[in-house]
Amino acid sequence: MKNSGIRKYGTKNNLIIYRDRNIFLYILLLIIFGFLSSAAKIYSQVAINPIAIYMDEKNRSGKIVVQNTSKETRKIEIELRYGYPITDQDGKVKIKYNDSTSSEDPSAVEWLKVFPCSVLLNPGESQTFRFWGQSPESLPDQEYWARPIIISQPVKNQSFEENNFDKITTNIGTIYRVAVSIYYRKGNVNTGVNIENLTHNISYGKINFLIGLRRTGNAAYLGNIILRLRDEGGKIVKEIKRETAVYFTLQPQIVLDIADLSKGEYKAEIELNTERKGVQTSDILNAPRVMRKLSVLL
Amino acid sequence: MKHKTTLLIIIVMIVTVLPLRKTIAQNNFATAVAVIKVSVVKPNNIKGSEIVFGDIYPGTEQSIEPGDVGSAEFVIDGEEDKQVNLTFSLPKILKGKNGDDLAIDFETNDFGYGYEDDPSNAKFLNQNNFLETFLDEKGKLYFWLGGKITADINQTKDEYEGNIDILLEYTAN
Repeated sequence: MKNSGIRKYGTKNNLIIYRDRNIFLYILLLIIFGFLSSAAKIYSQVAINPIAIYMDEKNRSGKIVVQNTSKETRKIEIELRYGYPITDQDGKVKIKYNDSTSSEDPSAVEWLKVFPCSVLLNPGESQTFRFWGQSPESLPDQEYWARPIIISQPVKNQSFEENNFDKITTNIGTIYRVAVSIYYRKGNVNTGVNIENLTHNISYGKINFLIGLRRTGNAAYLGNIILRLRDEGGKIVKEIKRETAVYFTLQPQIVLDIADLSKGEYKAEIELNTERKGVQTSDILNAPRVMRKLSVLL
Repeated sequence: MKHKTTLLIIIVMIVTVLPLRKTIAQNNFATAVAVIKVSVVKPNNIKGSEIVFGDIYPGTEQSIEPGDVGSAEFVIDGEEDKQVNLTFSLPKILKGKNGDDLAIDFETNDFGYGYEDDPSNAKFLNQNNFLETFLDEKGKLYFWLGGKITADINQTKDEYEGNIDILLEYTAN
């Protein structure tokens, strides 16, 4: 008897169960196979840690670890640039890069070094990039800034074989540039922020707040903006929290969706604090909490 | 016979699947090592797949919508609530190994983004390949990129290459 399945399981009913089990097994394996195939489509390209480095005169070095988690060898380079966040007239935040800095600019780019500047990373490999520097003595006490840009790009295979394509195909790679920050604190540094102006307008079920901020002290203000909307009874009906970084001045826009609120008078409450998650306490420059309130009529 | 067939299918699948499992496991393990060595803060990953147009025929256009099979899929997996800007520098031509050009075009609705791994819920970017946004409470942001290839009727059969350049800036640092 060649049909061992029938012989083993005997009755017709059992045979059906046996076949069902086989079908179930095939489907299960196909699902697992399909899941793993789709999981393989997206793969890590680059992992970077941390995204902010704090240095001072006692601790003149810092590091970033870059890992190539893709399936291909990638070239990793680091460029040091001077830049800081600014806002446009609509309150959109952008990074302004100044490649030619003046003595007024607190740039650390000129005296900060990075090693290595460029490496080839095979799949799964990681590399520590070290930064070190000493601020010139002639510079005043304050915080100095740099923006390392980590560039990860595919390595093209130089093929000297004769091209013999019988069809039109494409090969489109991805270059990643990730801009992070370095803060070098020389001597006594402190920070704070003032709300210089506060405007709002209501349109299409949203309140758009523009919050004009000016930093005080000699270091960037790294903190949070919390915007709360309270009803006439003082109950919080909307709350939104955003991280903010004020290097000089900034006028970020914060939008609250109010489509579900009834008409009436509300109080908007803007709070700025320096409580940052994911940053070591010793790296946080604390500043007094700042509050501002205004009435909003919906 | 059925047992042999079943066994054969299982062996083929295991042989095919195991290397994938190994790759995924290696990636996960490697990510964990980075966390332990550097900081307790979650590492900032950018993951992505490339845009794949497949075979293209002379005198035709080939379009891929964001989220379609073949579109590029990306995810940023970093620290929660971080404000980020994304800037895309996209090629206008791809260069063949024989030196010829192939036209590639990206329109405003070729870029979708969202906070779920579901391109059908994506918002479209309509601002010069620039996005000012933030990572969600899990530190995630997904985005998809489509595009269009236009092959001339006399287009040389070749492999055409180019790069998509993505700048990710942390703007509240």
